[in-house]
Amino acid sequence: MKNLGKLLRFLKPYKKWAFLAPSLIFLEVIMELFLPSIMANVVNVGIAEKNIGYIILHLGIMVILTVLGIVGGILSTYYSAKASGYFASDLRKELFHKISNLSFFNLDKIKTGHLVTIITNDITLIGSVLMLCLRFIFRVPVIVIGSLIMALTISPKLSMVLLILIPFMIVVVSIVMKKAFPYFQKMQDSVDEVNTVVRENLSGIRVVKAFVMEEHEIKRFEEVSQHLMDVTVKGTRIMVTALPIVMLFIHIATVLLLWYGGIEVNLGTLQVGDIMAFIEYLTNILTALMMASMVIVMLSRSEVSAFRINEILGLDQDLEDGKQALSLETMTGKLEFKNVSFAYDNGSGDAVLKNINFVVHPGETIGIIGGTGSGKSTLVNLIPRFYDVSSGEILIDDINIKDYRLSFIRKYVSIALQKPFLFSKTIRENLSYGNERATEEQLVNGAHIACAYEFIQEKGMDYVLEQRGVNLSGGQKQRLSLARAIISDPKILILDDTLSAVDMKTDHQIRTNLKPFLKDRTTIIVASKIASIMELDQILVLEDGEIVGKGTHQELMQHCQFYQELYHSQLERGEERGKSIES
Amino acid sequence: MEKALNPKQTMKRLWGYLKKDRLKLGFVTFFVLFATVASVIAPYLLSVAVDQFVGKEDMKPLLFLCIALVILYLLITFSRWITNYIMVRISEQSMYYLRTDLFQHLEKLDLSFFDQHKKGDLMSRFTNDITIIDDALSEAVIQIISSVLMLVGVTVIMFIMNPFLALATIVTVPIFFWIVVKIGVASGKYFMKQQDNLGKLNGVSEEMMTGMRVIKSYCKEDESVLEFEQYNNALREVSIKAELYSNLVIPANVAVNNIGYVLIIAVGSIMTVFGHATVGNILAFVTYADMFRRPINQLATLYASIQAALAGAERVFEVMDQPIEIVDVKEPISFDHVEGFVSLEHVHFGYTKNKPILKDINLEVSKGESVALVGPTGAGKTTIINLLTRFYDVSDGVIKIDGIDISKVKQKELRKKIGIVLQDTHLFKGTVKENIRYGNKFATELEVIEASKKAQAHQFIHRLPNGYDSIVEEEGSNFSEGERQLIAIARAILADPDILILDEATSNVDTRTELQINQGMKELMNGRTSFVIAHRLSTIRSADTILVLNHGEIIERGNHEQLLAQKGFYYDLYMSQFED
Repeated sequence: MKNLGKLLRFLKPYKKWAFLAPSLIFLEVIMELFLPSIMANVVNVGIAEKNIGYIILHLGIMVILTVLGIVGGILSTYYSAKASGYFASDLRKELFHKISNLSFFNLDKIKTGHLVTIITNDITLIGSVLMLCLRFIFRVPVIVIGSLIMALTISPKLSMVLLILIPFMIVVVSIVMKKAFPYFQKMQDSVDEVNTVVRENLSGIRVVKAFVMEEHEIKRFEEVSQHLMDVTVKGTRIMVTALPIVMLFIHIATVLLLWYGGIEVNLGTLQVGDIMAFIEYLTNILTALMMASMVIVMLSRSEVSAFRINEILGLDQDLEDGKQALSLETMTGKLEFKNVSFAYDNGSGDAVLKNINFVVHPGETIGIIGGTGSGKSTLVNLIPRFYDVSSGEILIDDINIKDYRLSFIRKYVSIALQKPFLFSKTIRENLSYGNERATEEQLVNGAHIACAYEFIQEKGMDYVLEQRGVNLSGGQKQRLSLARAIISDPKILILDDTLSAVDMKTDHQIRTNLKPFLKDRTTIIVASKIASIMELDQILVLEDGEIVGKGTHQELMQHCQFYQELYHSQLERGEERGKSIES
Repeated sequence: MEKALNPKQTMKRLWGYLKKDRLKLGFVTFFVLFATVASVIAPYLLSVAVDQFVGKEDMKPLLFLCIALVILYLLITFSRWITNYIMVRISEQSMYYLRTDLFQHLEKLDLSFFDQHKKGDLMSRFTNDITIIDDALSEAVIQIISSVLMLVGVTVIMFIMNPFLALATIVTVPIFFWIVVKIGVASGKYFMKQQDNLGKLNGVSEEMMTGMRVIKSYCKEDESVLEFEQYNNALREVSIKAELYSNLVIPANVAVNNIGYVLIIAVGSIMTVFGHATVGNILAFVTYADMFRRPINQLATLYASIQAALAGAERVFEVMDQPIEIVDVKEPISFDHVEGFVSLEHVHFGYTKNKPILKDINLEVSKGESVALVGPTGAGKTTIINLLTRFYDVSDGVIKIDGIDISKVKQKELRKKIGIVLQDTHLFKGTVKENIRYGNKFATELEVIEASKKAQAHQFIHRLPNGYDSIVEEEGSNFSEGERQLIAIARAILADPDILILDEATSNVDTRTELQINQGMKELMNGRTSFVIAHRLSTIRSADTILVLNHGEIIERGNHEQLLAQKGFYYDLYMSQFED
């Protein structure tokens, strides 16, 4: 229960409710405790002596107690619902807050689906468990101890039956539970397996069909599905033994009470009503214990959830602003990489970038070209501090980016990604995402530059995009994301293979449109097509994380072998033929 | 609460899954019957003991009765346990069949179904809906039988023992029933709202998680926390109410229980004083009152969960009832060996009726010819591929391979002859080797390596810590886009198809690797008819025939030189990359 305990701090603001809820249960419990003994009196005195007045008086007391109990029970439910509701929502908020402030170094380690499950399922479960706990935390011990005391006052001898049977039952039930617990985890794992196969088949159905692997997939599904069935059956079979056993204990205790009670009555040391009260107390104790075991099951199930929550809450906030972090009026945009090296996993992985050096001044555009895995995307991800360099430094306006406030850098650095992400909001909201105060004119202008205006006009600015922009083509999404970056009016603009899904004609048009916009900005264009960058002032050629060539197109054509290879494979023949046709 | 549209039929169908094992169901029914009857008798025996044997000189009858009671309770315990034991298997087994049937049908469904339905929605039918059905089914059968029996049994025995006390016991039931129903309705309402709000929160958080890079790069962390909070607060308000109402059932239960208790004692003790009842009666009726209310309570909760299960089952059956439109003809023609002549004759197609995508496409491809499809987004390139593989059927016209109408051939046979590398490569959880072998299960280790070498994938696979046995995570998330492409290409090569389709397959691989792949592809395409959709001119240029598509029509065709000479659409497209 260590992990659940850690989460209790979120209950602090609501301690009043969290205290009231179990306290009010007291009323309910007291009533339950006194009813059997009053009943015993009614039977032993009232009925035996045929004293109607006595009977009515005691019935009156019972009614009052009952009403008090009802009030207590309802109020307790109310306060515990409130406390656990607020607790859960605070927990959710804290978790989300945490996530949105994590660095990508940490974020990359967590899968989106996992986080969503935590925020919805896990926290909801913990909320319900808290509710349960608040209402049973006092109830169970008070009933058990109270009933025992009441029983002892009636007959210490008969109480021995209870005192012996109860521990015995607890032991048996906990053995059953212990056996069943490992199966909960196995069941969960097995459910995950089934889900994996389904998910894969839903997203890969084209491949399955193309390779005619339907039978194979069905067999694969049947295997995991069968496994799920077997594990569930085994686990549940153990679990379902608990209840009949508990019931058996109740019944056997009843019979024992009857027998020993019968002997006592014969001896005249006990009355019939007492036996009846005893049986009631016994039932109360055992139902309370059953509830306790239910709470324990819920608690241990939620312990897994709590662990997952704590895992996230415990992550280091590794990209925090220093106390004297700078936030200047504006940024000029001079960008410099000084001996920058980088490896993922906090520098412990393989080096992705080695000793990168270059400078870009405002108004300049630098191109970065290289193969898959050459590190070009990683390089630009370091600029808005999505990741921190492992060694060396990145300077903006001659100051190390680690000395700025994070928000300052990100305000002036805009990055348009190859895999664009759009929100399920209107086109307008998406465009103005980086600049809420953008005027309609700015929006239209940005859209024009990115060659997105035409299809935006077709759909309308208030067209609502579906989740992940599925109602747009890949190229349209890329153009929207580029327009968004332009509208945010950055000082440093990074295009990370932004136009890979745009056809060549439009690509060319966009590059022409961009020229005036980029006049006093620093721009980095990452590309795999040479045509996209060959006209730029400076081109970096990246291979295996190292700069293997730097210069203009002409210079690289003379000195950089790798660049030449690329050029020949992509352009040469086409260009020659193009020329020969023109001439 | 979500209501099932056709509860009777859905129930019948679910019952069909349950009744698969009649023998076991028979056992369950028998033991439930026994346990219920025995439980009804036991308190009666108790009351007899209290009234007649306790406090008597002769202890023997009491002893016999106690022993009888112990045996009876042991039998009850055993029957309860055995019913649960068997029932778990029955219900899990029927869930297994249901899941498998659903999955099997899913695998058979047309591609258009997957294009029109959201993945998350289909996913939830496998997870949430089946779980809900399972939860209800595993309990429903036993509980319905035992609850009804219990009600009847307890009523009968109560009236036999003491009609007045029986009436006093039953009087509280309507009140109790009314409360349970009221609370149930309210909590059902709020639970549905809670589910609704949870769903919204789910959507918002998923979107924000996937878009975290964008959120961070525009410094929108605080705004998104605020937005999240809105949904979070809304959820809190309804979930407090949902929890409150659903948990009120317990104190309400306790309250009604105690009122009933007091009532029985009141009536019972006064009647006993006047000699119309016994102390044993009181004891027995206290137990019977409990036994009478419990099944009502169970039936009430059961009603809600059965409703939910039926709604869930309908959603599951909805998928299972989806018609399969693209079916094989009754007497399919068989391909012996595919030469690779492909022709499209007057092919028309639209995904929806009034929006034609392809208009009158005519095409003749000879054996071994490579065809490049070029054109702007939405021109219909991918659609042609979808038709060639019969992922969709033509609206009009005919597609022939080796002169045989492909709609007359078994789909599976057709697809075995065609190899496809798609734009977004899909890898499965498993090893690299298993993924490459996907289209050719019986390929030897050597053949796998051979294919990878041709696809230029061997080099990077070889360098992995576990080589070909390295684990591919779900969706291949532990490989880069380029690596996934290479594996997919190796997979296609190993499948050794007669006709090859490459849908922008190389567009995500860097140019250098692409060049290497092209080499491998050339080798593979040699002698095979192939269709390529690519944005890169280097790929297009090497094709025998280039088809330029625009707005669903072939507007130009010919090889690279011929098309350039035409100075048409292709020429514009081509020149745009190089002019200054």
